[in-house]
Amino acid sequence: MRVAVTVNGTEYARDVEPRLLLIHFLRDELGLTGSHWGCDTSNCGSCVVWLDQRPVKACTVLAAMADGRSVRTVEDLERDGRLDPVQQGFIECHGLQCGFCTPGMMMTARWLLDRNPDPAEAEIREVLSGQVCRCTGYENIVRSVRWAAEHAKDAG
Amino acid sequence: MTTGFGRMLRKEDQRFVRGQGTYVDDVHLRGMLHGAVLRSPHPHARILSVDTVAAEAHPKVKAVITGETLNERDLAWMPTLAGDTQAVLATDKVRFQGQEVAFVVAEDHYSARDALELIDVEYEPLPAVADARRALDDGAPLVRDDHPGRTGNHIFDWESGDAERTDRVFRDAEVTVSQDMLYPRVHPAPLETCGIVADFNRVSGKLTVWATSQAPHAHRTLYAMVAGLPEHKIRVISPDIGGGFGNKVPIYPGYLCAIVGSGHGARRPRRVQRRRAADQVPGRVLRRVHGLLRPGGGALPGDRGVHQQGAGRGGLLLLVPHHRGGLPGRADGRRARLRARPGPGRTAHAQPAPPRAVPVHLPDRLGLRLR
Amino acid sequence: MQVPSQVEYERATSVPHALTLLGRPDHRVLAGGHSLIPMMKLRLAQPGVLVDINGLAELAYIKLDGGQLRIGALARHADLLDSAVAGDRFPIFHDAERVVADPIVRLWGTIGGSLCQADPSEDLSAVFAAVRATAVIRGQDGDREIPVREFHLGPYETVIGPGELLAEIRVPVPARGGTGSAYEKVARRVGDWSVAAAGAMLQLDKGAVRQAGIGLTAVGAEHFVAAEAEDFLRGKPATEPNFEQAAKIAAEHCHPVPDQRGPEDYKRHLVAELTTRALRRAAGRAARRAGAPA
Repeated sequence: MRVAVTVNGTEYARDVEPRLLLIHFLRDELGLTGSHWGCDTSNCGSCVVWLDQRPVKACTVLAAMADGRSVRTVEDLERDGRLDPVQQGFIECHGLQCGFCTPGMMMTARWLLDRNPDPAEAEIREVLSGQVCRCTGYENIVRSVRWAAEHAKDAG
Repeated sequence: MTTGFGRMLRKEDQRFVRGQGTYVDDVHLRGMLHGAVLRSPHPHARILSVDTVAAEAHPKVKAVITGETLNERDLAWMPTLAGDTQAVLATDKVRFQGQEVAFVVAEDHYSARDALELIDVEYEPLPAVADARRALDDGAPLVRDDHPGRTGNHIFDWESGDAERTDRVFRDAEVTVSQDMLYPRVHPAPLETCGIVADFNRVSGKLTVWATSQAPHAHRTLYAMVAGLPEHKIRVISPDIGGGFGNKVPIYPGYLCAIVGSGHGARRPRRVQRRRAADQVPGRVLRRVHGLLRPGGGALPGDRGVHQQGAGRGGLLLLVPHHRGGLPGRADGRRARLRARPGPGRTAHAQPAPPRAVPVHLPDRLGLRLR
Repeated sequence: MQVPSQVEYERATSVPHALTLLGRPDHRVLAGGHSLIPMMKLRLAQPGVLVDINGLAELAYIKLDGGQLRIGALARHADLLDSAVAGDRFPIFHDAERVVADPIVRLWGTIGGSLCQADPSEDLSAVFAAVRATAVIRGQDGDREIPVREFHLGPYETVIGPGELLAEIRVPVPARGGTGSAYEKVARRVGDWSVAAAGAMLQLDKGAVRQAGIGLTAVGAEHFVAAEAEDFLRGKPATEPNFEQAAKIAAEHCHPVPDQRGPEDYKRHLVAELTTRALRRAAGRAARRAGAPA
């Protein structure tokens, strides 16, 4: 079937099998490999992207469900050569080690900060509770998001 | 990140925060094929037959490889880092749940997955042992009957520390306490699963491999043995790796299948990226802990354990003598083989994360015919 | 390597269109997909045609209407968690949604989808049983209403037939104050299915239990209800000893299965403890609301 999805502002139309998962549409059809595929059970969240402005685990929706909708991936966080405060925060606060969970974490963090520019630590932890990191122990991820909240206009 | 010496800037963050890392699953080569591994649902079973006709007839399947195929070229077993041998694809028996039985090479990874269902394996289930304590019983099912002369599951005994001094302290203690403790099996679970892309260039005779490997040099040595290539003809690239924690040290059959698995004809690299299996086998290690109180207080641990070892590994055990507070300590144990998946170096607790699929190039000498 | 097997896909443009499609053989509803697609990836579910109803905005609402809380089947878990209209009157919804899945899954999973998935460990099944909700099932000939307590036929099986769609869940809002509800859950880790859970709704009248609803999750309670415990409690003073006794009865009358989440005796223990806590909290909330308008 034909699926047309606007990804990071550009519309892409592809012929795909209806069963194709959104994560594979992004990675394999469009070559956007910044979103990752980590588990088989919708647990890890390394595949988190935005679908119609809301984070989604892209391994758990079909590309067909995104037909006619818009998707935002980690590749879109940087604008005009300027890193998003969330990206800068992860660098500043050592919020990543292997980097595999990082795109998903950042996409959720960006969504949180768009809704609540000054989240308490508890809220940050709650919002990220559906995503897994094996390297950092999460402390620095939370710090990174707080840094982004505090430096909303600075980063770049 | 700030250290005692000031701020240390990580170089890799620049690409990781932009989603521009290159993990094995991000590597795309022109004409690349995809592999998938068929695994045994049984912990211990004889393989009566493997029928690949339907899988081979799938329009997108290029090859189906079985233990028998590999056996014909003496590739069904491979050496391990621990001086043992491990099955690449099962031939006579499966010895742990999840053991690799067949390997499919197809045009895309969805088709490779579909083709697994078209392979018909007839198993004769055998009694299994999944308890480390039972594995050493007389009459326990023998796991590694492929080892000539082996009659039981015992691998080796080990000892560490100062036995004499420890025994003396125990003897002199006012009170000794003995307790059995069960530890569940633990396995590293990095977010990125194991994977490999293998590309054999017929013109240069060179094999290039991108692998999730924490030990690329060791990998190259083994690949050289398997592929029949000299090491200088093999390049192992460990690109960005999404966590290892020991999990990505060993060489898994999936890697070998990928290297072995392509066919001749056009240059077709292969990818296999292992998926996280939902069926990780739980298990336990029994430790009998003897504590004692010495005069004046303080506890001294002694540790006698029966450690379970995966069915495929010879036992890579890190010994940590117990020396606390200047008191002597000792630890000893027996390593017994179980019906459990072999695992990476995590002292008795390990089974490898099942590699999903790793596309691998078959060197010419295998002479497999592909459609 | 978990990807679904081949499937066809249709997108419903209206509820009547969805009903027509669902009347065809092997057509299955695709709402949030966060129960169905994981099952498809494991190849435990292999539907022939998916009918995507996500575009049917007319089924997504949470509103108060004539003494009833009406929840459209396409309302997302996150919507219910965020709904003041629902949470003020039924804190049990917020208690439960806070511990269902995770924040991202809750943005996509639907209330209707969870009920229709009919997993024996589904928290909302017990919650809606506790509040004595009614399921509104829409077919080509109109709507029919089934008490949620009769909605589930067994694991993964509901009364919904071909050509039908769960459209709405209705919850009667008690006319007077003095009502409280609560949900208590134990899981192995954040976002996991329950090892066991209990939901309670109490309507109190001068310190006595006028009506009790007790729902149990993941322990094989028939229709997710602790009926014997409810019968015991009705008419009795809302005291701690009575809560404990009711909880004990609940624990005796369910059928927990030993599995990787725990052995049977542990699950029964949890039922007793969690039912007591849910009743206690529900009663506390009811006391605070006594006399308050509905």
